[in-house]
This record gives sequence, C-alpha cells and structure tokens, in this order.
Amino acid sequence: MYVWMTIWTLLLLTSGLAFLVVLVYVSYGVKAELRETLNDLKADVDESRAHEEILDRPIE
Amino acid sequence: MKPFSCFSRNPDFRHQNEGQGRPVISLYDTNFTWLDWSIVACYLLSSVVIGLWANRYVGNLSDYLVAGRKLRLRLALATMTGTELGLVTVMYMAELGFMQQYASLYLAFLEAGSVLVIGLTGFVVYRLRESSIMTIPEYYEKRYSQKVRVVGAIVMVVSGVLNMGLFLKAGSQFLTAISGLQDEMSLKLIMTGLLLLVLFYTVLGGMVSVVITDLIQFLILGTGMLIVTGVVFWSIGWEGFSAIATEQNGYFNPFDPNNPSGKGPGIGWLQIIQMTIVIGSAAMLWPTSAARTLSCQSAAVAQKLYTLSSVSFLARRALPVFWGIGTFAFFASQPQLFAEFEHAVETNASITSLSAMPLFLAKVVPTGLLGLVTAGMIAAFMSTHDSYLLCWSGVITQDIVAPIVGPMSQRSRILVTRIAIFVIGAMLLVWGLWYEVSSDLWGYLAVTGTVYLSGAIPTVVGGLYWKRGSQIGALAAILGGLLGLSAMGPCVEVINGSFSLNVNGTHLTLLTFAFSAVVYVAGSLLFPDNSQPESVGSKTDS
Repeated sequence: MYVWMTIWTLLLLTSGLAFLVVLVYVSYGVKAELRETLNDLKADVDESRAHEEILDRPIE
Repeated sequence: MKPFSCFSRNPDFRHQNEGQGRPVISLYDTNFTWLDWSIVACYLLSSVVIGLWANRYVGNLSDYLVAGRKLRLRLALATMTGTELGLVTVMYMAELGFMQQYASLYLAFLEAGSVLVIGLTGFVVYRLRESSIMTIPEYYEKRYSQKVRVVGAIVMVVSGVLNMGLFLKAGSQFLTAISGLQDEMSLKLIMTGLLLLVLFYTVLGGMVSVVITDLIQFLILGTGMLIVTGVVFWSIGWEGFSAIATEQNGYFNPFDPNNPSGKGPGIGWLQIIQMTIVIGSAAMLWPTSAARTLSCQSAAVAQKLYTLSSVSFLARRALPVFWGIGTFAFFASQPQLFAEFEHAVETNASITSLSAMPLFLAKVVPTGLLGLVTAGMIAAFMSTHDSYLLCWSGVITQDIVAPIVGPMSQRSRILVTRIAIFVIGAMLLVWGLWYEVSSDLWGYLAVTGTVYLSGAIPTVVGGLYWKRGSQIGALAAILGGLLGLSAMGPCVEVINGSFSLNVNGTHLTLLTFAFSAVVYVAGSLLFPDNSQPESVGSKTDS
C-alpha cells in the first residue's frame, strides 16, 4: 500500500508542477501568436471581400 | 461561513467542533455569496462580448470550422486543453477520486501515456493532418467511398450527442452544490440559460470565437485549478491524506478488483485493459481532439501539440482526482456528515456522488476565490459545449447533408451548421433532464464513446496503414460499433435478465472493439475494393 501511495504521490506532484510549466509556457508567447493568427484571418477576410467570393455558388 | 474555520489540519475533524460551541457543519453550508455571483455574471457577459467581436474574423467555412488552419502551437495547446479540461472532466474525475481514492489515478497515467506515445511517434495524427481533411468522415470518403463517409458520420453523431447528453446534468449538479441552491427548478432554468448563451456565441463566431474563449478559459481555469489544489491540500493536510491509508481503508491498487473503502466499485485488470483501449483510441480519433489536430498549421505542429498536451491531459485527470480524494478524507473523518450525504443521495434527485466534490469545495474555498473558480468552471463547461456543438454540427453539414443533397454553397453550409447547433442543443436539454445514469459518469462516457471509437479505430488505422482495407470492411466495422449501445446500463440489465448472464459494461465494450476489428479485416479480405486506393496522407520520407 505504501508503494502505491508513493507512486500516486509522485504522479500528483509531477502533474501539478508540469501543468504549472505549461501554463507559464502558454502565457509567455500566446499574445503574439493570437495577434498573428487574427491578422492572418483578417487578411483572409479582406481578400475574400476584395474578390467578392460568390457565397451562393454550389460547391461539391 | 468563514473559510477554514471548521477544522484545522487535523484528520480528527469529528472532534473539532463538538463541545466547543461552534456550529456543526451542514451538508449544504457554502462560502458562495453575492460577490461570487457577481464574478460569475461579469465573466459570462464578457464571453458574449468576445463572441460578438470575433465574428469579424470569420470569412469562409474554413475559418468557421477550423479557424482557417492558422493555429500556432501555443494557441492550439491552450484551446485543446481549454476544450478537454471541462467542468465535466473535473466532475467525473473528482467523483472517481471520491469513490475509488488513489486507485482512480490509473486513468491519468493511461491518458498521459497514450497522448505522449502518439506525440512521439506521430501515429495516425501525422498522416491525418497531412491529408488536409477537415473531418474524420471526410477521410472516410477519400480513402473508401462516400457511402462510408455518410454512415460513419451518422454513427459518429449518434455517439457524440449521446456522449455529451449528460454534460448539462453534471453542470447543474456542480452549480447546485457549490452555490447551496437546493431548488431543482431554478437550477434547471439557470442551466437552460447557460446553454442558450453557448448556442448564441457558438453560432455567431464558430471556431474563431471558440479559440479565443478557450484561451481565456484555459488561463483562468488553469490558474484556478492550481490554487484550489493548494487550498485542498492545506485544508486536509498531509495527516488527513495519510489517514486514508491508515484509518479509512482507502483504495490504492487499481489491479485489485475489490474496493476496500466500500464507497464505490472496484477496478481490476479487465477494466484497466478496457480503459487503455478506450482512452488510447479517443486520444487519436475523438473528433474534438482530431479537430484541433486538423486546425494546426502543419503536421509537424500537430505532432508537437500531442507531445506537449500529454502534460495537460495528465493534469486534467490527476488534479480533480486529488480534489476527490480530499473530499473523501473530509467526509470520512465526519461520519455524521457522510451519513447525511448518503441519505441525500437516496432521497434528493439533484444530489448524486457527483455532488460530493462541489459540496466539499463550497466549505473550504474562501469567497471570491470560490466565485473565480466557479466562473472558470462554468466557462469551461461552456467551452466544452461550444467545441462539441461545432464539431457535431460540422459533421452533420459536411458529411451527412452535403453528400446526400448535392452541391451546396458556402452560405447554405454555414446556415445548416447553425441550425444543427440549435437542434443538438434542444436534444441535449431533453436527454440531460430525463436520462438517469446507472453507473458513475465516466462509465457512461466510456460506453457511449465506444459506439464511435470501436468502428473508427480499425477504419482509420487500417485505412492509413493497410492497403487492403476495403469499403465493405469499413462499413462493417463502423456499423459493428453500434453493438456498443448494448453496454449502456438499461441494456445490460435486459441482456442479463433475458439470457441469465452476468456481464457488465466492461465485457460488452471489449466485445464491441474486438468485433469491429474482426469484421473490418474479414470484410476487407472477403470483399476487396475493385482498384487499389491512392495513398492518402502518407508520411513522406525526409
């Protein structure tokens, strides 16, 4: 029983610490990534408006 | 009620308040106040605003369904975790931690291990992303035929909608317990209102608003979860957790089929094998995970996403189990309170074993922080709903309606997707308020997920790695997955009663996976396709 308790305690500690690391990793660079992604999407939207995509043309 | 005032870091809670003039803890005591309700309301309002704002970034169907395939690694990681780290996951893992204590952590180990192996090897996910499809059924058509696509999509939607059928109920029980509200009707109204909110901003912004709100939810809930974990540990203390082993007959060894605590079912070898197969399959092919994979910039990013996500998947199961273990320690040390809880489970329809964890948190987490965590949990609840709604409605549009109806315009596809979202939402409300689950919630999810996964695994793996896989084999495997419905509680009772058997959901789930794999191979060998398929999504050698 104490072997299992040790295993599970280590698992819990690992998960808590690792999750904290992931949280910090995501927080650190996500603002820039979000800005780039939204810029890409905005560019898509602007381009489709400029070329007036025919939304009612049937596609397969 | 003041936080931490009811007990010290001492496992002998039963003597803490007796004879000392302090009030005895009641089951429904809570630290949830008007401040917490305000925090929740502000958060939900801001989610609506974001949904409205995100609409400007939706230009075409690709943007709507897969965020234009523009997701970079951190964003993909945040949104994948934000979707998968839902209130429902926290609730059912905490329930298992409450009933099976430390032994239930085997699920965290299984899932993290599966996701890590997939990430390191790229098994299935790399080739899928390379194939440039938007949904799994789309792959079915590319590899096999349109018929396989339509049939596969129908089975997927049946499985998926059944699977999320109890999410609303789980959310309702969380809110009831944490806020101390015992009026069943007012909670049903609140949950209906939340569902309408989810439908509103999902319909408006599609995957783009999902990505943005998932990111915020990941940051808030992730931080909240770590803080609450600390609060739980501080409240119970090392002595309290040790008492589970020394005094309270806690369950530690998952290979032992007997649960010594007597508060829940045992696990055992067979169930571990079942969960390995279910969790491993889901890690690759559960549509919401696959949707994130398909939204990544490239196959390489998709593979990296899995490797890093193994940490999130470990935490999403392990941390709530820890809360559940703390809940068990808390109740086990107060026999009167435990008796009151068990009596409530038998007499009050809105209280089940799922409610134990929120009832515990309501007493130990201070006001303010409780509101923030509740807001994060409700936001996660909404995040899970919007991702799943978008996923299933996308499958209905792209993989059922469009192939049957014929050529459809972009505008029509978006309209059908939005209608499907509302229809599914209505079905969820009815099912969630009506169906009574006979086992723990995780058992229900594993069974309903099997209906889709058991057919998808041989179909996709065979399609990617075995040239002889045929459309007849694929159809047989997908339809074979419907056998998984037999593993649902009411069906198991009928089967055992009709045939004088003693089978359970575990047996029938394993049988379903085996059956689907066998008929795939047999069907492919006996009824080969007329011509060899083109290699779809194959990994190029570098």
